[in-house]
Amino acid sequence: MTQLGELSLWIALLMAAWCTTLAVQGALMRREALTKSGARGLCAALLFTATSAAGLGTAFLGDDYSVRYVAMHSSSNVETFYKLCAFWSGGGGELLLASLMVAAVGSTAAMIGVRRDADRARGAWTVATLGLILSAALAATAFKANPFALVARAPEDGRGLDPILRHPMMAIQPPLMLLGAACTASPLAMVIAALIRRRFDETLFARVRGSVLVPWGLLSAAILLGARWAYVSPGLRAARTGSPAVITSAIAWLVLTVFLIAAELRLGARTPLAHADVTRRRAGRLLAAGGAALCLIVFAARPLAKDYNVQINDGEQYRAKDAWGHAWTFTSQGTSRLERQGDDVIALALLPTRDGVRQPFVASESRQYYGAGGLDIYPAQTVPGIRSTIAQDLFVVLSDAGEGRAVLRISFKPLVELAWIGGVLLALGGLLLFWLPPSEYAT
Amino acid sequence: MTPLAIGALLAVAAMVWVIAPIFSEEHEPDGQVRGRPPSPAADDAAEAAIRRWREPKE
Repeated sequence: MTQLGELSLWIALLMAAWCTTLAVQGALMRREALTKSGARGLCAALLFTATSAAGLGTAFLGDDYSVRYVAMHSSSNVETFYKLCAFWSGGGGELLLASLMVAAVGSTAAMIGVRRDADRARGAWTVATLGLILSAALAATAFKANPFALVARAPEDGRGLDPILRHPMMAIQPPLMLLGAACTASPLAMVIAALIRRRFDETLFARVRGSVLVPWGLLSAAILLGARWAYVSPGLRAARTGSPAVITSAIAWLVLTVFLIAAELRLGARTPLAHADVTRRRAGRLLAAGGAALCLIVFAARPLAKDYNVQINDGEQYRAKDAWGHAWTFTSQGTSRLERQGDDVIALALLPTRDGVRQPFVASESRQYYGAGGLDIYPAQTVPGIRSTIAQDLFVVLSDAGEGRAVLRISFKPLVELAWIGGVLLALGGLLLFWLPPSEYAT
Repeated sequence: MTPLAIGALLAVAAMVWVIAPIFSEEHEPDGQVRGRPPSPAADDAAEAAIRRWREPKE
C-alpha cells in the first residue's frame, strides 16, 4: 500500500501538471475541450492524492517503520487515535493533507468555473491557476518532504508522536487550518484569472467575495482553537510558531480580512440595502465591536496578572494574593506517581482557599513519554491545572517534584475568559457583517 | 494483483477519462472545430449568408 501511495503521489503531480498545461492551451486557443480535459485532470489528481493519503494512513495504522516519516512520528505504544493524528504531525504529511484539500476544493471550483463563467477564457485561466497551485503543493510534497521515503534498515519501533501534540485538539485544529488555507485557492485562482484576462466584472466580484467568506470563517475558527490549545498546552507555541502551515494560514487570514473589509466598505458606500441586510450588518458590527472591546479590556488587564514561583513541601501551605486583592492559600496534598505503559505521570494536587472559603482541588501533571526500549526521547510534558472563572484564571504548572517537595508556578490571569468570548464574538460578528446579500450574487 | 498494478490500471483509466473531451470534440454535430473545415452543409449555409449580405450593395 505504501508503494501504491508513492506511485499515486507522482501520478497526481503529473495530472496536476496536465491540468495546468491543457487549461493554458485551452485559454490561448479558445478550445473548450482542452479546458474540460484540464478540469478532469484536476479531478483525477484528487483521486490519486486521496489514494496517496490512504497509503500513508495505512502505513501509520500498520506500524510500517520502513517508512521514515512513520518511524519519526509514531510508535507501537501510541494509541490508534493519535496514530491517525500523527499523519499531519510533520511537514510531509501536512503538505500531503494540504494537497488533498487543495485538490478537493480545486476540482470542485474548476468544474463550476468551466460551467458558470460566461467568459470561457477566464474560466480556463481559473482552471490553469488551480492546477498550478496544486502542482506546487504536490511538487513540494514529492520533492522536498516526501513522506514515503524509506529507511535503509527498518527500526523495530518508531520514535513516537511528540507529546506536545497528544491532545484531542490535534484531530481538529490542524486539518481545519489546512482546509481554510486550501479554500483560499479558489478565490485566488478567480482573481488571478481575471487579472490575466483584465476582466473583473460585478458577477465575478460577487463570486470572489462569496467564496472568500468560507476560508475566512474556517481560518478564524482555526486561529481561535489554536490559541486555546496553545493556552492549555505550554510549549506548543514554541513548537508550532515557525511552522510553514501556521505562517501561510496567518498570512491568508490577514489578506482575506483586508479584502473583506475593503469589499464591505465598497458595498456599504455603493448600494442601497434591503431592511434585513441593514439589520444583519448592524448586528454584525455590534458583535464585532463588542468582541474587539472585550479583547482590548483583557489586553489592558494583563499588567494585573500575578505570578508566584513556589517551592512547597507535602502538607505545607502557601499564601498568595490575586489581581483583585483576594487572599488565597494553597495546601499541598502531596505528589503521586503513576506508571503506565508508554508514560509515567507525576501529579501534584493543591487544595486552595479564597478569603478562607474552600475551593475545588487544582492538580497539575508532568508526563514523561517513553519510546522504543524505554527511552525518554522527548522532554517531560507539563499539563497545567486550570480553574476558570469570568474574573480570572487560576493557572498551576508543576515544574519539578521529588522527595516530598514540589516546585511549581501559580498564576492569576485576570479576565482571560473574556478574551475567548471576545474572539468568538469577533468571528461571528465578522461573518454576519461580511455575509454577501443574496441580491449581490444576482448582479 | 500487486498495488503497483492497481495503480497503473487506475492511471490508465483516469488518463482515458481525462483525454476523452479532446477526442469527443471531433464528433460535435455542428462541426465547428478550430482548424478543421466545416461540413458541406455548413459551407453552403455560410456562402448563402455572405451572398445575402453582399446583395444590397450590388
